[in-house]
Amino acid sequence: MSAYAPVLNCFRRLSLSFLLLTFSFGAAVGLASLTPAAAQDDFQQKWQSLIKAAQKEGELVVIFGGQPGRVYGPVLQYFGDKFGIRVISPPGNGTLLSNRLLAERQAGRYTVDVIHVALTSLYSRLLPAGVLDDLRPELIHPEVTNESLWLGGHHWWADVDHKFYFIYAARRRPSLEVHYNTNAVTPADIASIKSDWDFLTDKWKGKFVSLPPTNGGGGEGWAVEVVNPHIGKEWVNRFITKMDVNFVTDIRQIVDGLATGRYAAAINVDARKEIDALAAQGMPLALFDKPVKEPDYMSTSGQGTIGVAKNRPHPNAARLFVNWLLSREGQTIRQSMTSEPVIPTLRVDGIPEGKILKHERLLPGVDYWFPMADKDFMAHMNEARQWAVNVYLSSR
Amino acid sequence: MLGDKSLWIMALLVILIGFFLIYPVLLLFIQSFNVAPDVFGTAKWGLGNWREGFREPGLLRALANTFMIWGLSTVISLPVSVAIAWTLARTRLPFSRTLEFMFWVAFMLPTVSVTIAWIDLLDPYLGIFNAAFKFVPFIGKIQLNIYSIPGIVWMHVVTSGIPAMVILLTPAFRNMDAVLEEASRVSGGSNFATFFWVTLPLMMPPIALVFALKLLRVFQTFEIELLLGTPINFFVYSTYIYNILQNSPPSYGKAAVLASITLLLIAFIIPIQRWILHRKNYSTVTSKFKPGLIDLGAWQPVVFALIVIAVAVLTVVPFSALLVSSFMNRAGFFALGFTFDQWNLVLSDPLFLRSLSTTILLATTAAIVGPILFSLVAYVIVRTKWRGRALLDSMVWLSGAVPGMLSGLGLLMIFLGTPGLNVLYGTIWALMIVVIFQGHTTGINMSKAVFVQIGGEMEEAARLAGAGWLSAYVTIWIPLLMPTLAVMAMLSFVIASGTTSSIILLASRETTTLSLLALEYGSEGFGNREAATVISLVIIGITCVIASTIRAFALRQSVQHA
Repeated sequence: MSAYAPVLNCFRRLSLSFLLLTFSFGAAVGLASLTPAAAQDDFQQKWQSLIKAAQKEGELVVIFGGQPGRVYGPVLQYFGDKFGIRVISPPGNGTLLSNRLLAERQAGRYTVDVIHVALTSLYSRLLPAGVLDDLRPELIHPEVTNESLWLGGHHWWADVDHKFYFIYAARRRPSLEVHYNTNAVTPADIASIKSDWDFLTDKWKGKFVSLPPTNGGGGEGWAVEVVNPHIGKEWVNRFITKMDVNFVTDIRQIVDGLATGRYAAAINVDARKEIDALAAQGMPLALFDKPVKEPDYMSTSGQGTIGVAKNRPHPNAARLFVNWLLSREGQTIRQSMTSEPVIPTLRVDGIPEGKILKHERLLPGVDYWFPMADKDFMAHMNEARQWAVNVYLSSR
Repeated sequence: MLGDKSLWIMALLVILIGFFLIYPVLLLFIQSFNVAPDVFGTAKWGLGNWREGFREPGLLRALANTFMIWGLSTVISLPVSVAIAWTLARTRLPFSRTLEFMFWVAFMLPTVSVTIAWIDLLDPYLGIFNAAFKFVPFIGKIQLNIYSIPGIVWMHVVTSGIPAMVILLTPAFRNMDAVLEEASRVSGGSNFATFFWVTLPLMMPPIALVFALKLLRVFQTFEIELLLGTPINFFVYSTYIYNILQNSPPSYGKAAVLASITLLLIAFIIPIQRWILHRKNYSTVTSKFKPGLIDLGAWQPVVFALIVIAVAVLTVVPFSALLVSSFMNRAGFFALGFTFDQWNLVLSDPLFLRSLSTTILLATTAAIVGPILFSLVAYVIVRTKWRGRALLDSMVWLSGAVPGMLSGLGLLMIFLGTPGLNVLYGTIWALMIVVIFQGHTTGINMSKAVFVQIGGEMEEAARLAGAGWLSAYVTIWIPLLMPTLAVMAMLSFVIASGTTSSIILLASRETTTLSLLALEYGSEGFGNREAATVISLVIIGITCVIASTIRAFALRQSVQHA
């Protein structure tokens, strides 16, 4: 045996190992690059088929409920033009549209595909009536199904079953959203507020305006505060009965009154866009945004949620619309093309800000409370709302 | 005159009126016994709504407030309206026709828009008048506040009070036989005494009608009290019903229970108005009818000035305020400047032209079909002795008892739930049927009030001369009724072009009307009241054009006064 034999054997073994390693590495790289592309091709094929099927259906009916119906008009127009589908959005607020939807279904008529109404109508009427279908199987777009692309690394659902009503946008809402007239409220007044309970002192008596609990949106807001563990019944009871609050049902009157100083401050009126717009035009209005002890919560403010109806007449158009709207393109269009500012998307893959209001952005790392996904809250919402209504009516 | 056909005609009318007007009321009444949380869920029957409905805290006070508002506004509106109507119809006041038309314009101004206009004028903080007073010597300290009970009464007087009463009473006063008034003056009576002892008693049917309609209206409308009353914790009955319907789900059962109080009112109104109509002969238009106008003499300039002031307050002032607001960035905030943006926004809205054409189509249909139908029903009730007249009359009143915010639900139910009719659901035809029947209570009762004024001998003469019923109706009744038919046509047009609550549940995007578009713009979420005002101005514009056309046609066809 040659003296070099061990060396040669070693070299042979090393070469073989090297070859094997190279081959394995190459194969791994090849496979890795091959799978996403195949998957991508697979999705594109499905997507194109879906578009064709939706175009064959030719129509999509979306119920929005009130203001979003007008605000989202350009978005619907864009979708309709892009895919060649006629989009119909009936007029009316959430209550009226729910009336129509439920009456039609009772008569065996199914005309609605996509539901985009505010949560009040959803929880009190549409969910109990079993109108909504499981949305999860409808979500097929990788940009939508990839949960890492959403806030917190997961999907957000507005229903306790986490399958009917998807939250794609939400805003940061201080627990008691307070706007004030800067001529009527001094910096010292603001500085003295360390907790929402500090608003219940005598110096604030007669200075507030608010939506009454009997009002649709106002009622929901008050129900949330009643069940809010940091606010609760005692706070709400004192506010309604002891603080000489001006309860006004017309938001326009509230905003005008606040701007002129007739009212010093407004609580729970959900008129931030109007107030912000007036403040930007020089009116003496501001949002009380000083940190207080009570945490903020997330609010969808009548937008930012979507579901599909059972027995929808245009299932492919509905699937196409939902996936498109929730995708990167849809959310970008939504934040840039709506006729008014909208609440921020929950997507975290760099959607251009467009028309969102900066102070409404959800802050990273904060554990927000979303009341509508809280089982305990939902179990008591109607009761909380009725309690607030009774307190209000008894005090008149 | 129609012999055996009377039974079939009466049956047809009862079925028609019954189905489209009473059936929705019946459906709502049935729902008052449905205690399920949602009226569209699984029904659960019981008396819970009736037990709880009248126990709402503050309800009795709201009821008292309603009667107070009705009483105060009627005490002011009715005598003023009677005086104005008499002056316009029975005297040689210059430009009387034009002034009468201006009351029509006042009537056409939407209640919500006019209320907002007066808020812009009399708001204690923003009001233009209050700001202007500060610069006037001696009255600088005056501050008027629209958010008050006098403010609410004022709004009732200037919207559904004086304008509505004047336009309903003036044609009736025009049918007054001058012979009767001349006889009074020949006997030594002054104009004043003639008016009180001759004219007024003969005008009792139309006066009783406007009195009753005002009472019904106060229980049905809520916009004024919602805007002006809520900030001062002043509630009326209709705002209670409105609040109940804002719950989610809306408590239609409880609302139907509360709305039943208007049925109670109807139960009083029907026998009283039948007693008034039948207690004596109110014929003023007979074969010996002599038209004629009264000279006011030295009083003419004073009366003319007063009516011009009334027209200015009712029409020019709110219209001007609306026009100015439509060009403002934010109505009431002069510091924020003026703009054409609101007009651009509305006129460039893809829905605007479609809504405009739908509105014109619906309102024109209502203006043509409505008066014919209403006058025929009134003829059957007043001029025939057919069995079933009392039932038909009661049905007309009963169907007017339900507020629009509830009747829309009843109509939705019948269009979805009736085989044959459900094919019309979502189409323009459903809306056409609904708008034709809008204003039926006023239209039919107006016609009744005029039919009692017209003597029967002319119809008898036509019959003796061999004319058939249709021939007599066209050659005798139509010319005599023309001013009233014109009023009804204009009423139908105005109501149809402004209606929202009755059609919103039946309209689609393709059949949206201007009034629904204005509702969207002005809704809480959208909050663009200025754009809503632009649309209101467009509605007022088209109603003025159409109304003046109808009026000009009617005046040419009707009996002429010297």
